[in-house]
Amino acid sequence: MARGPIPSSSTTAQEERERVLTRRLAASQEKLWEQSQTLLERSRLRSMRGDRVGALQDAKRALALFPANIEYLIRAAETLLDSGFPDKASRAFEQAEGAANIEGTTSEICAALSTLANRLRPFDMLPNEILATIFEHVYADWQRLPSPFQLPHVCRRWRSIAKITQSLWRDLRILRVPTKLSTFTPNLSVELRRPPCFSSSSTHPVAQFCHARAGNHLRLIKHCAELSNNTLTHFEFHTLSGDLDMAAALLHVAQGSAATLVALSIINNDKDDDPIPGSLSLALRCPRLTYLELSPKSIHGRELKQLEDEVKHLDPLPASLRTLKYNDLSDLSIRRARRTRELFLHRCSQLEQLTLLDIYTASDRALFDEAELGTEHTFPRDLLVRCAQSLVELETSAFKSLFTRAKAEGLSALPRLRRLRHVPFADFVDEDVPDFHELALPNLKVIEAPINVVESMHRVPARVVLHLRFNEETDLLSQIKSWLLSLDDDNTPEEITLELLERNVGTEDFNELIDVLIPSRAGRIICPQLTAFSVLTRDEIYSEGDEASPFDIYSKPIPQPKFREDWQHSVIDASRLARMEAERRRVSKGLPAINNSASGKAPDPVPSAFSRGAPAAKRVKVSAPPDKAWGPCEALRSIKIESCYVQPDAWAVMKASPCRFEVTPDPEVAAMLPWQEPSAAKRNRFGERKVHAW
Amino acid sequence: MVVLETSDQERFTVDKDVAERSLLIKQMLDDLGDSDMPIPLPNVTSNVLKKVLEYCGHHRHEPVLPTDEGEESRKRLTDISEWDQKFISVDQEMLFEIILAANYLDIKPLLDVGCKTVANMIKGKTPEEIRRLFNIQNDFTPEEEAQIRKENEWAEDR
Repeated sequence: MARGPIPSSSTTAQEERERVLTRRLAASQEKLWEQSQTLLERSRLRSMRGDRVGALQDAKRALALFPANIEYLIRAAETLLDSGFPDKASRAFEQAEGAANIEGTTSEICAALSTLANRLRPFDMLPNEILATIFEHVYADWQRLPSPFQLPHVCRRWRSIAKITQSLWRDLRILRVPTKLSTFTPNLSVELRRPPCFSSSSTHPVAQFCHARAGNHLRLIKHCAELSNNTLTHFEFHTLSGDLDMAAALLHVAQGSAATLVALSIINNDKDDDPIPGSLSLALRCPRLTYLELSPKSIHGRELKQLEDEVKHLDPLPASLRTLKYNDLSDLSIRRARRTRELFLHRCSQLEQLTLLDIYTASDRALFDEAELGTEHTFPRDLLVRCAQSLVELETSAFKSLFTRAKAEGLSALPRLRRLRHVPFADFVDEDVPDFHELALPNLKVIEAPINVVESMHRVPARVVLHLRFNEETDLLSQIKSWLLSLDDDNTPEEITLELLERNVGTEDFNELIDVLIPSRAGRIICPQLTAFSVLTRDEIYSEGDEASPFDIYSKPIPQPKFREDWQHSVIDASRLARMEAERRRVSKGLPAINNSASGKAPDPVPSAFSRGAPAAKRVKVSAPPDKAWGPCEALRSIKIESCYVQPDAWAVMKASPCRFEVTPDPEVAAMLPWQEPSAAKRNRFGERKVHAW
Repeated sequence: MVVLETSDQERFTVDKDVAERSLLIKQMLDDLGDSDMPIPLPNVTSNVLKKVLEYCGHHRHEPVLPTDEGEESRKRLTDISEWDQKFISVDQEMLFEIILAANYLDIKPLLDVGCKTVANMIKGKTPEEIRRLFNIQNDFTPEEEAQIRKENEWAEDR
């Protein structure tokens, strides 16, 4: 029979010693634990009292007391985390993790460690694709991000995810490119963000911007292109002057992404002849392109010949192209680049939006040259006819010549056209009225043009934007007024905007405008379909002579106002509204009406839009800030202002108003508006008319 | 009614239209047909599911956007509604748990609310502030730090 070894007395004594030691160790650990708990509790109390230094000292001492026991360390980490010391908790957690790796763990400890890890490092819980989605949301609001490289600087994981999330890098917009790469020009900006012109088509929200040294622009741009792995979808760049190296480098960046580009803008802002060789042929090589905007001021000479040859032998335009903006060809290039342009546009039978702003420039010289050229040279022969079935939007500075030409080519309808815009230039008015009689526009919803063009239309579109100048000899306001009065009730616009093209508009002019707003016709409602009437000013409205503030116009009495229920009104007679509001309150409280009780007549009907606290007028578009006129509209909380300049006294009114103001001036002016009262110096700067990029 | 069973064996009985805000559960219900069997959700604990169901209950009458079609409109809308903001005002741990659960259960609008909330916490902060907020360790090597400094040069000349 096998027998085990008989324990010797020395072994027993050894075991006994070990047991005692373990007990003592446990007891000391228990004591340490108690001490540390006391310290942690004190730390927590100090932390609550705001004594951060004392709290941290206690927490440090508590942590130092702990022996390398996994469970104790986990409990310590939890307590420290609860006390608001994530750093210390992390250290305790790391010690526990280290001990667990050495000693091995039970499933309970594993679970406890995992829970603690989740609490301590929440981002570790999230898979990469969720982190990428969060990044996309962060970059969606570029204005709050100081630098494009914030997220990749947090840690290695974030860096790698930001780099592989290509959607963060796909929209590239480069503005104000420096004159020369070698020139040091501080505060030029490279914007990497979703450009406004792409907002409807953009699929990738990217939002970044930074200011950089001039010499760093190209590096930065190349870096972004690399980050996008040459899969840019939106690319826009503006060049200022003849830095061919820079232009070529930018084109090269775009070329790298030719396969994926959806929108491409190449804008040459310089007055000089700055060729950007290859821009057109690049566009032709982008199979997915839907948006193309080119301002090639000069494609000429040898390059033009080369380009024409190139275009002739290329495949047709990208079948996906839906929008083409061809801007700013100067008088010189109209002649020189005409054939190229024709070749190019000839293939565009699928276009939906077309902007041709190359007929006139704002200079007299261009007009003179244009007159010399004759209109028959200005458009490709059958351009409109070719696009006729697909065109949705058309902008041009010369309706008449375009339509006359097209009519000669057999054009009878533009079946999908929704928006027709006459492009106004500051010093020139196109008085020619196109003949709409033989052109069917069944889907036209918006027309933006001078009154003579609009009134020549049989069928009035739903939205009419009337361009207006006061310094013309003809009395446009009377013309508009008679046009409004002449309309049949079933053929009136739903929305009218008067767009003032003046440099400055005086109060007298403005008062005349108000007379136009509500034409009276024997008490009948004029334009029964009308739901909104706005005035859009570009510049300052100034006071004339000794008149009071131009904003007094808001208290001007309006004869016989008749509101539709959903009327969104721009100009309201304050005194009348106040009276009506008081009346409504009296009636609602069961009191007799004051005004007409003596005569026995029924009170004026209160405009329903305001009797309900103007529920429909939650967003009112006005040309300039209102004053007390808005007082009675208690429900009105938001007012949208589309104006370049807001006068100081108007700011005061706005500040005092409970309404939320949404001011959307011109972006460049907006940059100067500090959202506070503008100073006199700034007012002078606003006085200068902004020349738009067209 | 549908019975859901969480990882900690707690059961929740909810209306079908509430449960079906989760495309995962909807798919499971479609596959199972009419059955009283509880649907196991091994990746979700009871306290998180309670929150998720609160969200689903509040939004039960809203149309469920198909994944592809909704993608664009979801991304465009950067604002979080008032109710959702209040709902998502929870501690960090719960916030991340909700995001994980929404991802697992395939509730896109909830996932978006969570992601946008975290994005809002990140916005406008420096890398160091972000690290402090989420207890993220700076694990860059000295070489990587040098590279980052180089990248920052572009942004620093203002």
